[in-house]
Amino acid sequence: MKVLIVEDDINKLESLKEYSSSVGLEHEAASSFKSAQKKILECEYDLIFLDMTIPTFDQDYKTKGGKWRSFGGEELLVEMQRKNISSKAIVITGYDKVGTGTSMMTLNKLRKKLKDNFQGLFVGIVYFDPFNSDWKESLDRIIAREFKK
Amino acid sequence: MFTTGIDYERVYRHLDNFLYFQKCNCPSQMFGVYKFHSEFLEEYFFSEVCVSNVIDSLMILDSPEKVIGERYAILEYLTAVLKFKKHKYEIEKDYLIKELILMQSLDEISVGKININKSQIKNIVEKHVAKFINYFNLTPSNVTFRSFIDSDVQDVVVEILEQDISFEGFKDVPLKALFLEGVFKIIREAYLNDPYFGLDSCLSVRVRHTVIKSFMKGFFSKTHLISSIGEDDLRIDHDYWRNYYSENSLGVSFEKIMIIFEQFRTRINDYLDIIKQKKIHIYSECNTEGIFNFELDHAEILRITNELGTSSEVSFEQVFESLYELLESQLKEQLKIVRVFFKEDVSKCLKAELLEFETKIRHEDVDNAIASAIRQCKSEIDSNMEQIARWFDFENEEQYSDFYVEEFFERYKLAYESLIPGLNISITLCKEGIPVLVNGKYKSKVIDIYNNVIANILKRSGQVLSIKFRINIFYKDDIVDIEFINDCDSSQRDEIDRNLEKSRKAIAEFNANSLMIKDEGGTGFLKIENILKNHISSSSLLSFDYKNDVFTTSISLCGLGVLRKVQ
Repeated sequence: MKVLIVEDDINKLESLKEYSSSVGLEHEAASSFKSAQKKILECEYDLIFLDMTIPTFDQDYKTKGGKWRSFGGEELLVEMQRKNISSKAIVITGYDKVGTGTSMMTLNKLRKKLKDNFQGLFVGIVYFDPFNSDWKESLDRIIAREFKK
Repeated sequence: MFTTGIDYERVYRHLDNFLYFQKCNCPSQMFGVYKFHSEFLEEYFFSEVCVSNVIDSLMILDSPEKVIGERYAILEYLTAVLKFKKHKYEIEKDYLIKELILMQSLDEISVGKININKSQIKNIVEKHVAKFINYFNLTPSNVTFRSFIDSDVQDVVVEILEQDISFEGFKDVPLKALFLEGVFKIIREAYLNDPYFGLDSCLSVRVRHTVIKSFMKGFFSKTHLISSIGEDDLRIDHDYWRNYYSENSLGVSFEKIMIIFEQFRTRINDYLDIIKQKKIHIYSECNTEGIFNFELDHAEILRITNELGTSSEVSFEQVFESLYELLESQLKEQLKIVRVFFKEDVSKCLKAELLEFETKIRHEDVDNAIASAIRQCKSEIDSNMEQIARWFDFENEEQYSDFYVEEFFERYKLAYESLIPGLNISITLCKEGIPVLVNGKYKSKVIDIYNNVIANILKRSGQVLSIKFRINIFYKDDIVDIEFINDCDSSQRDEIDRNLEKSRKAIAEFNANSLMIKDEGGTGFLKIENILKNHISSSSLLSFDYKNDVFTTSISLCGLGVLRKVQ
């Protein structure tokens, strides 16, 4: 099974890569909206681990990643829906709230919104805490539910 | 930038669908192909729909440069076809060009900064090593330290031994190697610690003095976690957050938030001080935290001894070249270590600090604004550390082409404004005379001078973000005079007077103050004087004046090979 990890935080990315290898997932990574968009449209993935807040471009010292997308993960889900991509997506976030000001929402609200709007694509949210391994168990459960029926 | 309150994501989706049905990948492919119902619609589509914030989601535009290029092409088309709004499009085109120039400028200042003047080091050490080389030639290859007792070079060997005998089991080491070690130590001392040309001086002027903390400050202040203003010490952006919370009336405890901010600020400030004051230094008994560690490589000294020992008589040139090469290869290794230090250790530490900050602020940060700023900052740490790491490489002076000083100042204004968010530099250029080019070889030196001048102006202007200064450029025969004129904060009058006096005295006793050149906390003018006199040309000049709350820094660039007449 092939997974795309969309993540701009190197440490979190490493943890997700390690996890993927440990459960036998073949993995690739994208660290921005644009590189994820390209990969999702050009390759076929069974599963996508999706960070919610990502930069527009891969970061380098000149551009610093361009525009910051608070809901970049959701934008990618919209792209998948529009282009009939059927990969399953799990949102993995290290935060209990996303967005800011009036667009700020809790994970529960976000879960409901994504579930309503992306049926068949969005299969769950996992709260990532680098200091404990609960997130791995949550991922195990979602993957087992979606792929080992 | 030019449109607000629009759901760009939604506009993008409609645009992408529309382009798909037109069999186009980007708007510019529609020029002259698609027939719009009216000129008004065509203008609206290209001008208001295909804006940068929308087209940056198009898959084919996979880099910021391509987004800028596409928008620029659209504006060119609008200018050519719909001439009646030419002025509006010209303004946006200028903005896009500035964005591109900024990227190029950041590229230019994100290059290797390490440059040690080999010929100067050679001149400095030549007379000091002569006797060691003489004894090296006099001593037969088979003579070891054990057998030196009766030799006529005993005094010299003793001199070396008294310094430090570091060959393990040195009694069986060829005596020649000990002489070579003596030469190596002298060259190494000049290479590392010569106040005008050594590595430490280079690190001081080009990294430690104002540069690294300004850069870090800029990086944190982009998300308002730290304020851009302030001298060397970091400050909290009180104004931004006070305004933010008063506008949003969220009923948060501003004081509580500021206490957590203060803890974060102190920890980051302390850490940056350690980097600046301890880490980016040469390892020594006084500073065991210095990252640059140039230990004696005995095996290499022995190898060079054997190599040189086969010649009947070695020259200073041969010895210098061999040992200098050894130092250069050691420095190459050390620079690798420093790059890894920034990309891994510093990055990890800053991320940990941000994580702790975020954990502490979580309960107070009711609308997620601070957490969001922290996340963005955390996400950008790696690219920022990558940028700093790039400084720790050998400079390639040949990479810069000859330049006009006025273009240089305009160009770097953008880079400075981007590195210190909120900074607004207003430059008035006055030119007199026929412009001449400055040799590209000296560009990085002019950048160093400019760094120091800007830091001084910021300091004297009372740390306001909107600094205005005038640059007058006078071209005379073989001289370019540059004057930086800025208004000062009148409340600092006495302090400026005192500092000015101190700087004047330090410059007058320039050679006596050689050690201050590579120290931080002293006058930046001494560093400018060193760059001008020792790294550009001895005839270049620096002067400064303070009258009626106006400060003038004058620099004259001249000397053989510094300026080039335009053909």
